[in-house]
Amino acid sequence: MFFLKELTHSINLHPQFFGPQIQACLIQRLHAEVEGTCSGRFGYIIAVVEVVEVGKGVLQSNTGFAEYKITYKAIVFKPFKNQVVDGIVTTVNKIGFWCEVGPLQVFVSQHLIPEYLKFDPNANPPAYVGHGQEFGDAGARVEKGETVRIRIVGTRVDATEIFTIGTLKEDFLGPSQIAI
Amino acid sequence: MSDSGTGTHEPGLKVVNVDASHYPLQIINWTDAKEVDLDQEIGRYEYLDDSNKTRRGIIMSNCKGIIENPPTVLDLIESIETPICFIREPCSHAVQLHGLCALCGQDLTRVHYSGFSQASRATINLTHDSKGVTVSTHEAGRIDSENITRLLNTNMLTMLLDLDQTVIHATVDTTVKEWLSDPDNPDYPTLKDVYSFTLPDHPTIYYIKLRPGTREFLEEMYNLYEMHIYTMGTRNYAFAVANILDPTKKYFKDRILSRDDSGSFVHKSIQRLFPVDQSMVVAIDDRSDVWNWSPSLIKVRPYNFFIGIGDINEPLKENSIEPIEKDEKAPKGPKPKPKLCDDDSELEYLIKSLKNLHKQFFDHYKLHDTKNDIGKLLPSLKSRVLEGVHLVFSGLIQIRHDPSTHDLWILATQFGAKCYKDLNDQVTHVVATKKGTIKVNQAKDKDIWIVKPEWLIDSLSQWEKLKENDYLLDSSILRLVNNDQMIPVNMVLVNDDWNTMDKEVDEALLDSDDSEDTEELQPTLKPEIEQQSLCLKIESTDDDDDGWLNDEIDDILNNSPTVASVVQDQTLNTGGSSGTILGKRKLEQD
Repeated sequence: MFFLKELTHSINLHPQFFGPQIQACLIQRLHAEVEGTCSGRFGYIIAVVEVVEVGKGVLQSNTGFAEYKITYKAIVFKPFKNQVVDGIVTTVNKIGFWCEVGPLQVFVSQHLIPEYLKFDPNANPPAYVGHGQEFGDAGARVEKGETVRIRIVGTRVDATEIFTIGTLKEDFLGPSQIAI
Repeated sequence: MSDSGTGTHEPGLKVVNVDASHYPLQIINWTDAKEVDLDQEIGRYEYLDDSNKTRRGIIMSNCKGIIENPPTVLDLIESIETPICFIREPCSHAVQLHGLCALCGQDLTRVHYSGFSQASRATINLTHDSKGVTVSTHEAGRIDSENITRLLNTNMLTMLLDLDQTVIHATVDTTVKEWLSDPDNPDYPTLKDVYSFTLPDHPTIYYIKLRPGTREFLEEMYNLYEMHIYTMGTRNYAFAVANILDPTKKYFKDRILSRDDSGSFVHKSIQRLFPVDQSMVVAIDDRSDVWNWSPSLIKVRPYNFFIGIGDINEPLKENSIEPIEKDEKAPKGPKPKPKLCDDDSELEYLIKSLKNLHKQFFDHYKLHDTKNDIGKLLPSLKSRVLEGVHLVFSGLIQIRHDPSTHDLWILATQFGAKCYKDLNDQVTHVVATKKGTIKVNQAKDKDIWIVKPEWLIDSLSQWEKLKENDYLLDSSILRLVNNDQMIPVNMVLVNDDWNTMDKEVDEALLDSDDSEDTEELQPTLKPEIEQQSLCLKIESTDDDDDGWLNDEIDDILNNSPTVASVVQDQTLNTGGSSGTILGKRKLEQD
């Protein structure tokens, strides 16, 4: 789920940047250091929206760097259990498939894939293919690049990584025609 | 007190029992609860101890779940064979992702106070990537057997194919770039099949030469074998090469295992991809040591196109099979000779052997309806090739090494030959690099084939015992004497012939100035021979030879009645002043 969160970040700035452009430099560094990272607590920081406050820089007597505490607002993404999301399939193999929900990688195990989707290793690319009367020719396929709707079953956070497990074994889940 | 029983009847269903010495026991109390947590009291029992005193014990649950088949109070349980009850676990946690159960989503990293870690129930990684999905042994067995059924139904076996020096040869030598841009260069035509690519984040250009016959090999094998790439290169390297070999992803799809994902820099193992059932897998590699001489491995001759480069990805090795090579000096002339040659035909023979293996396997399957095991079928097919051959090596294995660990010894034994350290009555072949060694001399008197190592190596690659007459060591002497004719030698020598032969040799040598005979393995006789009986001149190029060389020399000096003069030539230093290996050869040429 996406949130708009107010966070703080401290930057140690080298004296060579002490000049008229110091604010711009700090904001640039903030964007570079924070966007795209993941923390266990807040999730993935997608983008910095605005900079609320740039504190006063405190000079460190031992190194000469100036430490700035920057408060900013950012869009963060954190997955939650039981949430339903849309993802794009990246890898398919015999024990399940991986899909990407934004910056997050979700693994769906073969045990949580419904019976009508069977793994076909000879397809190019390998895919889970739907068998059954309702499918006919335009069968539902889970293959690389397809959009799929999954429910998140569990998450675990490490210091800088989030591991997620998803399932397809419910109504209205599975490969969908919605383009992301 | 009771033990938490760890015995399982099947995954998901756990058996509850107590200490074996407490049986027979009687249940006196049982919980009403149907669903229990780990380490919860679920009942009490009474038993008689050694001194016939009545004692009581507590029954604890050994996992979280639902109780099945609970006993009733006052039940008597005779022995540990009968479980007190079962607990059905809601989830066996058989598939895990970095400590997260992929089946129920539970976080498994929290270790229970008893020390049991749920994460240890799934430790096998059998995918081609290293994203962290692991499975339990039971699950791996299930996946493997599904795989086997599918393969049997589609009449296919599995092949693990190495890249470097098996189907390609790679180099980063910039001399290739120079050659490629210069059409007048003599090597230009042989380089027309060289592909190049760069890896992300690195400026170095890799040049790849496909082994002759690679594309035909892939096309023919793709219908009989499901092919995987198993290489010691990095993931980027493996994908780049796969892109060249297989641009439409027809042969390998995404079945590429690089060293980043295989978990080891020095060892390869079939169990990495097929942990439980390896009976339908064949591995093909130019090295057997990294596979720990697995019985399912077919070792092919390493493909060396770019001279002196070797394998840019593989770990160091000790014993090399090819006889110690000498630097070849091409004759200086108006047109320099091309240095690269493209005449390898190993893959043709490999196609034949693999087709045969496939046929044998599936014929057996159709006939008996039980599948064979490649780990047994392959060695039995191999051992027919050199059946009846008893051989001794000379000049190939350094004395300080245990010969039975040498690659060639092991390979020959796999193919049905018997190898010995010294000559005895049963020996039928002496595989030698040079004439004049102790073993060669001993063998000359007997009815034994004295052949070059190429005989053995070629027989091993063609899976056929080749005609020894084409590989005789001594035919070279005859060539010196009779410059025009090549007379095949019948190896049964009578002693009288020695003297005539010696005289002829002396005459010929005094006549000819030319000591260069580039078709021979090495020129061992130099013009300056003085004695009447056969003299031995032994040349060495590397310091490495000193190990076996000195021992052989000692042998000769001590045992042979004639005097041997030994000349040790220290030829070129291996460290050249020009940068690259191919460039150095270019310099020598010019």
